[in-house]
Amino acid sequence: MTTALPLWIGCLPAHTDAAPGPDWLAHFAPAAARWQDGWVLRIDASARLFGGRAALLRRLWLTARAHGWHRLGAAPTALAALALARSTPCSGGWRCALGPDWMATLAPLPTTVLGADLAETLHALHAAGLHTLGDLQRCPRPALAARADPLLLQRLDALWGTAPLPAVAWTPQPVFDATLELPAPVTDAAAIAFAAQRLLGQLVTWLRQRRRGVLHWRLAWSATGGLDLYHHQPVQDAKRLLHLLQARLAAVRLDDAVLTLRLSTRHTVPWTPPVASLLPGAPAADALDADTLLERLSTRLGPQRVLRGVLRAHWDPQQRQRWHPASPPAEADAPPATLPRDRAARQPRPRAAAASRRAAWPPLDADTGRHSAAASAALPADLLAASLWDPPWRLPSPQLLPHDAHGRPWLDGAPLRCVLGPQRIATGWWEAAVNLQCCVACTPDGRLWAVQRDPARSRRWTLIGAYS
Amino acid sequence: MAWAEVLHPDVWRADQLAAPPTPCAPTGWAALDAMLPGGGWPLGALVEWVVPAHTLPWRLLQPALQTATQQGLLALIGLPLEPQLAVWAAHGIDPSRLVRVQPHDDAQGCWAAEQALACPQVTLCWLHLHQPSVAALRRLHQAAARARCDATQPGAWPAPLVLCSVPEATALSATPAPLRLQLQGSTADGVTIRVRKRRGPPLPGPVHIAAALPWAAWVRVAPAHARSRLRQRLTAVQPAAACPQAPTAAPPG
Repeated sequence: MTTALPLWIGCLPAHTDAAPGPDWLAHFAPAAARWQDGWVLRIDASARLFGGRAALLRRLWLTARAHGWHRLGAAPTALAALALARSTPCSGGWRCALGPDWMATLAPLPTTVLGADLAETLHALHAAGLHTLGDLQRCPRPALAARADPLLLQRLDALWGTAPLPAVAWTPQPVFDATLELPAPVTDAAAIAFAAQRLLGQLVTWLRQRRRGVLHWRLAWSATGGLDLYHHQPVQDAKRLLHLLQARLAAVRLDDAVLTLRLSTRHTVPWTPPVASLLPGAPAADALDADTLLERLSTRLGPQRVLRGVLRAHWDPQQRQRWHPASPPAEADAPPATLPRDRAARQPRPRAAAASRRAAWPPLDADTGRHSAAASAALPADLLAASLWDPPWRLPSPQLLPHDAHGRPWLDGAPLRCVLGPQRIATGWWEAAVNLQCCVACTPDGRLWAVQRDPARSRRWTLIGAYS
Repeated sequence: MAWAEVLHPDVWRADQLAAPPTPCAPTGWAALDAMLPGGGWPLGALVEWVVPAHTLPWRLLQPALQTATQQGLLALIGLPLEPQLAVWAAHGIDPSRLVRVQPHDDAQGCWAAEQALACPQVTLCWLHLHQPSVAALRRLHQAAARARCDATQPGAWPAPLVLCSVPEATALSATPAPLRLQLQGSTADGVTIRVRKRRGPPLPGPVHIAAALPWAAWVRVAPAHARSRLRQRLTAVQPAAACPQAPTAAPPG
């Protein structure tokens, strides 16, 4: 009588940028583990629950595909399953070696499926004529041990099932979730902040116990009403959380009386305490952080009023800069709850751009010389040189200038005289058709202004910028 | 009477520039340095600029802006004009270190400036007040006096440079700021300012600071009447040293 072989699943995402969330894997068996670029999971204990091995594997395959994990392998050991998954084509596929001859199925696979960290050893063995897993299996173990990395032997033992794979099992992220019944119905948003203080105290205690910082949390007062708060850096400071909450609540109007408050964390990460500086001139430890400052400003004034500029190479001087909110992500950046996470991550959408924008914030502690070089690297040198001619200040919206009888524009009761230009910008096929005449003009007192007009539309000049 | 100054830091001889109570940073323009007490922009004190419509100072501040972005963040709060970032980058100002805040009104602008000054990473805070009041300016000056920068790097500013620009039309007759400058005009060759208030003897007339635009040579010469009027105005005042010269220690006037 043969004992049933264990059943391991190895899965790889079809795209490397897929979110690593294995929540869906945990539906099939408890102990999913991350190994290098993929995930492995032992599922033979769940076979009866899902109606047999075949039904379980079919269901797993469909679920994995729905979540963007297109490359699957099934085998009696974890590493063999992952090796089979790695041998599938990049576009997706399914391979299994489940019978008693599973070792023979694995034998023709190339040695590179053992993992990228062994590349150097495997390259040397490949040069010695050992091309496949079968070749390695046939080698006498003492000879291999004398010539190869000891890691290779461990890896081979795990592959053939003589030793376990030292993978750490995945544990779900701890979630803080507390509810507070208010003693009386509350209709004022400011009173909510007061009541939420107790929940925040519990949250901070919980975070301190686990040495975690919160990145995304939610205070809800009804099924639909609530606030989502995001942070750039993990936060453990009760005062900062409370200030942020108070500023956000100040802009909230309650539709209905509130009876219950619920505070829950959505994303927490391990927290490292800040290290005190011993250098003279260092700011106080409790001084305001730049991230906290931006968070505070954009919470009170609104994210559209705290902006950071981004340079872009563009022929039109007006288009060479873009202003984006400098704040931590708004609600729109949250991962959609209904969409599977990896599919959401692969869709081209503004969230990815927002993430890269956030990452582009230059570190403030780095030495100073490199940053000015990095700034000018955003634009090519010829555009930077051309920008020297542009006005340093631009009016938020062009201002139409009055004209006299000769067609000369006037500004502040004085005629303008063109001293440079006109420079003509005309395109018919890029983005939008543009036909502009730009001039540097001068008032009689010598002050210089940038004016422009669109001769096709109007003969009147508009003031667009000031030299100063 | 040499000990008159040691009585109190707020006492100085009427014919000399006072010793600065705060650290100063060179402006990058020798003629301007010579006019300012301490030989540069006072750090951790309010500098008020009175500006005409549609304009903000830039050329005189450009070296300070460049240094500020190298050391930390630049906060521009409520400015009526939009910085053209490509031009700023071409002059060596890192645009990624710049935060532009657009408050609804002056009160929120003051609040935002106070918050920015509480952050040691902000090295330059520039607020524009449409309706300046003594209370707002005093509040800002006190926040500036409390502000400290991260000065662990050698050569870093110990305190931020705090600028407040106010429009000419609504400017107050007196100001709590220790330094008040008025931007009068700027041509391709330089900038004309008036020092309205400083810790030192008053400067009567406008001062032309030679700070030419990079392409000043290409600008067609102004018509004769304008030139003569300009010269008339400029010759009335002391000659100012050009930028590349070394700063002079002797006070003007």
